[in-house]
Amino acid sequence: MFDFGAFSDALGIMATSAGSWGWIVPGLIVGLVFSAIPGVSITMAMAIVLPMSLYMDFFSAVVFLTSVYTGAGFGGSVPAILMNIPGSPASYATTFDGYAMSLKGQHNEALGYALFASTICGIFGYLLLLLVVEPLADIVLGIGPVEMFAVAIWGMLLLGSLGSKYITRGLLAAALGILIGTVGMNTAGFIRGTMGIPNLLDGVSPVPAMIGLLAAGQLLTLASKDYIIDAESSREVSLKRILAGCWGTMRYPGVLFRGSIIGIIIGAVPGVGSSIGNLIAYAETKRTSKDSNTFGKGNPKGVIAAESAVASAEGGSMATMLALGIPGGGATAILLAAFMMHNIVPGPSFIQSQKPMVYAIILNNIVQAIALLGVGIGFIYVAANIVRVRTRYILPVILVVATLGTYAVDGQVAGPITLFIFAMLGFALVRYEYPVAAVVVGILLGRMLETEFLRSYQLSGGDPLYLFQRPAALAIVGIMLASLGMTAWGKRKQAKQEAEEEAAMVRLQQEQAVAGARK
Amino acid sequence: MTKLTRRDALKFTGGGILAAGVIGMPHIARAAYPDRPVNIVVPFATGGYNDRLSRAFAPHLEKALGQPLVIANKPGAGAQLGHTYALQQPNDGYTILCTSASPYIPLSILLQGAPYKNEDFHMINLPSRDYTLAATSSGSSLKDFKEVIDKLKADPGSLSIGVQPASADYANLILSMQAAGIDPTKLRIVTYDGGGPNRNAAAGGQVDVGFVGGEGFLPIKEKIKPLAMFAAEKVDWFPDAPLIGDSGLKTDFVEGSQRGWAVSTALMKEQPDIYKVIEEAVSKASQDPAAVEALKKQQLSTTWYGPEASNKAFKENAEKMAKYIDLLK
Amino acid sequence: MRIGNHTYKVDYGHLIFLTAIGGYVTWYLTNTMSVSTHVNNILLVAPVSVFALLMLLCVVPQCIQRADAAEEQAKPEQYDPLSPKLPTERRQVARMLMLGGALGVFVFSLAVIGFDVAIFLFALAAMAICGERRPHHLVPFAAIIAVVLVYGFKALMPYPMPTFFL
Repeated sequence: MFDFGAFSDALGIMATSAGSWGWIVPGLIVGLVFSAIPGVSITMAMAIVLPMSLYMDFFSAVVFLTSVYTGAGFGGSVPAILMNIPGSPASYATTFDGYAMSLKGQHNEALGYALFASTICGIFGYLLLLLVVEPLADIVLGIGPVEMFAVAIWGMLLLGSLGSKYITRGLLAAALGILIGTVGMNTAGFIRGTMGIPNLLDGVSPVPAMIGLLAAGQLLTLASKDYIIDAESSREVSLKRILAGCWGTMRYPGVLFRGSIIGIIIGAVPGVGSSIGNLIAYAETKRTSKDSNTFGKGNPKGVIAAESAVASAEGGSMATMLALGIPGGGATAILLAAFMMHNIVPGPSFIQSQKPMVYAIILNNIVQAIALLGVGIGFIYVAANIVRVRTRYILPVILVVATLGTYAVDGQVAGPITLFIFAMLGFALVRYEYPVAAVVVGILLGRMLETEFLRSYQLSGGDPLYLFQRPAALAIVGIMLASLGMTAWGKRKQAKQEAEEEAAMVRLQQEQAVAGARK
Repeated sequence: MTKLTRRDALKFTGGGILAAGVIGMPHIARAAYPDRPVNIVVPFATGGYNDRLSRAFAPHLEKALGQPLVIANKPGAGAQLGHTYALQQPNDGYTILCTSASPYIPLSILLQGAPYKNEDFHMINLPSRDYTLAATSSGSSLKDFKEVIDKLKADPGSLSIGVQPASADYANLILSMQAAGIDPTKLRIVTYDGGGPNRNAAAGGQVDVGFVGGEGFLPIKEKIKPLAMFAAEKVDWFPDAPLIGDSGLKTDFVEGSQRGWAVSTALMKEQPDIYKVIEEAVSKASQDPAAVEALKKQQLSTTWYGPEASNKAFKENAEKMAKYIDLLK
Repeated sequence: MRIGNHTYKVDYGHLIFLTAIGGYVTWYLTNTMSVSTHVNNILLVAPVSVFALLMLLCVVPQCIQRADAAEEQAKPEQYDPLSPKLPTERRQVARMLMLGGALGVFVFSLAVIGFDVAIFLFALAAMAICGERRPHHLVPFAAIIAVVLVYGFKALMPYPMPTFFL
């Protein structure tokens, strides 16, 4: 498994190419800036800097590009926390508690929590990768449609933990979201619901739809407020409080650990990326927390859970790329191209023959994650000043940036138009008390649900017993059911406890009232 | 989709209030082509083969053209949006396509009702050719394509087959099954919406056999066993893959992908001088030793076939697809 | 509305919304079925559509409330970011709707009048809606937004952006 000889060679590579370390900070900044703008993706950032890396030597080029990648892994959480706009689907779960913390004036702490969770779990992800990069290839290839379908269902379970006043409206909203997510050509080549618009052949673009739905409920209501945060005293940008947030992250090792494991496993699966890991990590953390009723209202654990899964997923998808030469997404495809430019073709033989180089790349990613701490603190210190600008100046900028961001997804006006249509839908949903989040999650997961369900059906020839030939899928379903069962058990205990406390309070009040009456 | 370009809109809104805008349109009197940056339209997202090809080739083409290139990704709807966009641009030589001409141009016409014809595109050079490869996981017990056919003949549901619907690979799958006398409707087909996931499924043994473009398999060569390459002659980038002809099965097939450089036919006919400049630049850059070496390192092709051979290959393959289109529906 | 001894309050807006949703889901289902009834096409869409319509039927009665019950419900609630509430004050609602309207005009005008002009006009409108009335603040600030964002995004993304001046 772990090759100590290769490891010391890797340290040698790191030491002899110290000059390439200079590319870490510029790379991180490029990644942070690109990904903090909603709609502008990591892939785009890397495609644009790729030509620059042509003129560097191999290790410098890899350091520079992976730094962009590392920086971009965190940048998306900044707009998610400060403005409730997820930069990409990967930071959607960060908005739940991140923005709520901002509204309470805890934006400094929230950004600190996110940054630290992101770096710690990034490092953890890469450390784990160091150990398992070789066997990982076979594990990843062994994940089939049934397992993926189980994961998608797990993602949908998030909805149960979001809670809503009306269960029927929540279910209706989720079903509507799933249906919208399946518009276009499905994996078997059938075209539905496009109304003859060619843009819809690929389905409703999820980023503009997501931003539109969220904008209606929250962004536009800012028009009647003077600042994003009501209380004047809370609008400070404080390094001390950012650091306090960073430090506070350490109090939740369990949350970090669970988020990382979920992130690494899901991130390693090609084509899924981190857009579902953050949802599962958030839901699992909320479900198993004693104070689950404060989630969504500014509980730091929500921010930490979401970010830990996003950051550790980077390690996972990097592993797949190195071990298999298979890009998990657009960003790793660009990395792959950069490798090939320098005559290096990742894949099983690369891992075998060039282990020191593989270790050096992984080690360098760990160094980057540490550097991200410093650069990230500077970045969020600057970005947090948004809360100090009056909405009349900042809101037009946010709205224009969000609109241009939706244009930047694929360079078509269809993006901004999608944003507007979904903003209208969002208005109605909020007005009539439907959970907007249910529609968003449905749109994000609808296509995956259908694709994997269909493939499972095709593979099994319609025989449900096929599930028993897939131990991994059975394990996922088992963990899921166990988690649900334990939650239900915990909830019952908690409800009982709360009822007792309430009874005690009532008794206390009565006694006080009696005592007051005596006076 | 509206066919109004911004220029048309400006004409309609009239000069009066927008008189200042005239400053923004300095290209009425044309200097020698090219006198400003040229757009390369890639109808796919960043990171795909055409995107990588265009970005790697751009520095060399820039040198040959004498103007910078701007790479514009226009992804969506099986490249239909990007192709439509390219044809809608002014006919002035400032738009060049880098696309997978085959199968995307004919397929978007035949299956999606795209608003253009094969004849609207003029191929300058199609260096990259890809072929369908039937492959199985390296740990699989299947030995060769003949064994696959024998097993399917005995029971069409005995093996699961991964394939992209409405693709050249699908056409090849059906053609070979029909040639072997197997009822394609009885096969256990698992559909994938991209080559990548399909390859992973084949390499990981999720499906017993995958029918998918062979070039993408190169990085995971060790994880698969090639069964049959749907090509007429040995493919230089995968010489150890057996050809479909070797399996003893006599079947027709279509070529997987033909990727490279194209412009609108209108440009070639109406602006022959400008077209000549582009053709010469692509030809020069393709044969530039620096370009050949740089692209080879990234496993990208530069072979210069020229417009005549490229158009012929594209036309033949498109006609074959039209002939077999009923198989894809 | 009176039925029997009770007065009922009907939320017509909600009913219209439900009709629209129901209409869309029904259309989507029939559209899907008309493409093909092959399992590969309807495996997920058909059951989910039917489920959505069933849920919709369950929600319909919630649009009709007894008048006394409706009043009882209108008590202040704690703010929950996961189920945001729209502002209720008339002036605030008007601002929000105007901003929404401006956004609509903005997204549809982008490709027609150029991104630069559209951004300038939208920034102007949005600032005015948010309460800024001083022209010497409005015009330069909107111009700065347009210039910075157009050039910024041109540098950031690999797509052409139709503009009028810039």
